Amino acid sequence: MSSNADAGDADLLRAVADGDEGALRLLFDRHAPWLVARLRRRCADPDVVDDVLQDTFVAVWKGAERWRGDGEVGAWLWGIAVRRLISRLRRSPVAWTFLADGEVDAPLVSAEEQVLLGVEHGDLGTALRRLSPELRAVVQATILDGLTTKEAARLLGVPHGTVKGRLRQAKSQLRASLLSAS
Amino acid sequence: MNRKPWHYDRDLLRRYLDGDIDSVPSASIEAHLMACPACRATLAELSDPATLRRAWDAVQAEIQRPVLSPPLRALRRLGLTERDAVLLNASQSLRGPWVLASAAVFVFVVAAGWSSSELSTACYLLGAPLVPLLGVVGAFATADSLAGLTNTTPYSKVRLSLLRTAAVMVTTVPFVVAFGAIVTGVGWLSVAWLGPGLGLTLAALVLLTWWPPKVVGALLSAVWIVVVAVAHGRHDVVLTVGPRAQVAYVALTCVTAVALAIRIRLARTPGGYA
Repeated sequence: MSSNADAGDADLLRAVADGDEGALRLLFDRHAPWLVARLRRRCADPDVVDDVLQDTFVAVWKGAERWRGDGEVGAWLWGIAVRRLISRLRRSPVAWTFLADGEVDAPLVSAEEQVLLGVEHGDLGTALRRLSPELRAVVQATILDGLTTKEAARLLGVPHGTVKGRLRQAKSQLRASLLSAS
Repeated sequence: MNRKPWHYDRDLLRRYLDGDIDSVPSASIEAHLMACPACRATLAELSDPATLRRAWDAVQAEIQRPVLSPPLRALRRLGLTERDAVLLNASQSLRGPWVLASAAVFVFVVAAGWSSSELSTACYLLGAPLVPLLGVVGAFATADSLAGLTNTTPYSKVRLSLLRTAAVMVTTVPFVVAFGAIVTGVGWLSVAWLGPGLGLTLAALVLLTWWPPKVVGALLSAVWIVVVAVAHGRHDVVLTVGPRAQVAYVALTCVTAVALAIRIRLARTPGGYA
């Protein structure tokens, strides 16, 4: 649908709610690539990621009218995708890939990129790096991936209270290192 | 905070796609991608188009799946598999029988309304067994348009034909029984016709292994019409579903069931006459 080509994501979602398949196609073209990339970083099995991506857009097709119309469409899509991934992983457990230290041997980020990241996120990167792996996993699941602490607890296989405690601990550590850096 | 828009370079995004980037900058990239359509577009250019095309094809196939008709949705809830439901949907084997059953019931109601009770009973006994019979025969006749497909798919034809029959029976028989009992007031006859109904339907399945649906439908309908007409001529139409007649129908059902099993064993499927 050429008339949709310049439409914003929110307008496309409304068109999808009205049964416009062309609008869904445009949303897919815009968002599927980064969704796949992000899902792949959390699940190493490409077949599972493909399934989750399909499920996500089928869910968008069926439930576009449930979008409340506020916030980023991208964040809404990610919310659907990451929950589909969790329920999929619960059915057939495949390793959930956590942020881990030493994934990469050499620092691949150039000085210039480091500056860019610093501009956008302050010293969040450094602060995140200082967290212990357990705390960082909680931060990733809740703050970055947008899961509730309950969902994060199921995902990480630890009690709900533990996740809440770790999150509190992580936040105070992050705050402390960000304050000391500035 | 610098508010000027800025973008990641392609090289970094490529390394992110390849999983070659440490977790912390990855988190920054992900956060940035959520808010930056330009970087999302760059990432899309770098992504593997084959994977995405496959995923889109799967999404499209899923959202374009045929919407099942109400009787099929009911059967689906009763345990019919999705595959079978879609197949029945495609063969349209239920639409004909439904129209037929509705028309037949309408005729019974009208007949019961203005005729003597004897004639109304005769109409019901004449029509009721013909509904599943013609429904099954009709299912095989309308499915001819699918014959090219079903002959080339690795789907058991026995299973397909029995599935069609069962679907027709399940959707028509309760309908006719209920209307007989409630609307036309024929009492126990609304169940008694099931004897000849079952016998005729099984006989039709056996004959369908030899002859085309139209011939089978016409022949068996004619037989039943003659039986009812003769009984009506003797002013004792209830005799056609009396105890002795029921014994004959049970015998007919058994014989035809055995015959059908033998024909299927010989790889002769109903509807497979061509």
